[in-house]
Amino acid sequence: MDLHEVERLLEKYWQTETTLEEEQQLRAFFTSGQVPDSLKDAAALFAFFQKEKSKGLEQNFESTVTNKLKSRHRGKLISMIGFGNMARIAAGIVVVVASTFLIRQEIRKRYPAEMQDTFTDPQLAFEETKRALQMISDSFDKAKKEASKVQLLNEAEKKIQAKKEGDKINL
Amino acid sequence: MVMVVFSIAAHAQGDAITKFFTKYQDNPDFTQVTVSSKMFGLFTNMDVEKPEDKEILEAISKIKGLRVIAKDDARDSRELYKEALSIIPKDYEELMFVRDKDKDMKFLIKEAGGKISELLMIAAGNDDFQMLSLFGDIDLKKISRIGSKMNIDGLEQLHKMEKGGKKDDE
Repeated sequence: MDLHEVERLLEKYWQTETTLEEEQQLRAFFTSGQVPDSLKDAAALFAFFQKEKSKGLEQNFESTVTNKLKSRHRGKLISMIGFGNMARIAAGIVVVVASTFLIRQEIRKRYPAEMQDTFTDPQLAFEETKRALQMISDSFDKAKKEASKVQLLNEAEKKIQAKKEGDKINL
Repeated sequence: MVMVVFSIAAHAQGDAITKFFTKYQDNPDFTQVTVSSKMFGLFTNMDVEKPEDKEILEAISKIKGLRVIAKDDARDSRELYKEALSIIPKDYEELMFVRDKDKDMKFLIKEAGGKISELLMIAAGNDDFQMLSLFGDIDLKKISRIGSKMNIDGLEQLHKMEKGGKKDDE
């Protein structure tokens, strides 16, 4: 290949427009050793590419990389995963507890107390209920009487007061 | 686990009061009476002839339950009285206090939206103690009209006399 052709192909190479064949030609030229000074840099580059290409992966490349990854991130990786699980479990517990409280409240509102009846016979239960109610009612009556006594006292006082006023006027 | 929680959560009464009842209900020195809402429901089906009973049925038509706990021969009646008072939640209002000879009786109610949902009575004499809880939709007016047995019989006599008198006039 003449220099002109090389330069043309090189220009195409930089524009990433070379075909595979053309790249092969370039490589062949640059490894031939007859490289002008103006193209020394390009030659170095091609030489570098060639060298790198010939390198292979060492035998235990994969295992080495995996081990290094593991040792670097082990602590971090597992604790992140662990945290996620813990958070999930905690959230689950919170949901269950909260819902039981809410449902308990609902049940309390709707269902009356589950009490064990003392009597199985409604008649007896009724008699007992009567007794309780009468006791309450008697107390109410008592309170009313006391209250009405106070009322009477108030009225009596008013009458006395009125009479006094009347007597004063009459005098 | 959730089902166990549901079965425990069954009480509509104030928890503190229920605790008091539960504390003493198995104590042999105490007598306790419980009338459940089911029982109250059965009352309406009963044949009642006496007018006083009919009046009572009317007064308790919306009541859901009754609990009574009492101790006779109670030297600690005043302590029990204080204890009962101390566990009552703050949303209960004192309705009235009656002192009859040696007996102190305090009535409290729990009210919500113009309706009385519970009536509590705590009473202590020199030797006896009672605590009563009546709950549901309570009509105080109707309950207060339930005269004692004596009063009712007395009233009946009065009515009979009045009727007899009128007939004579005619």
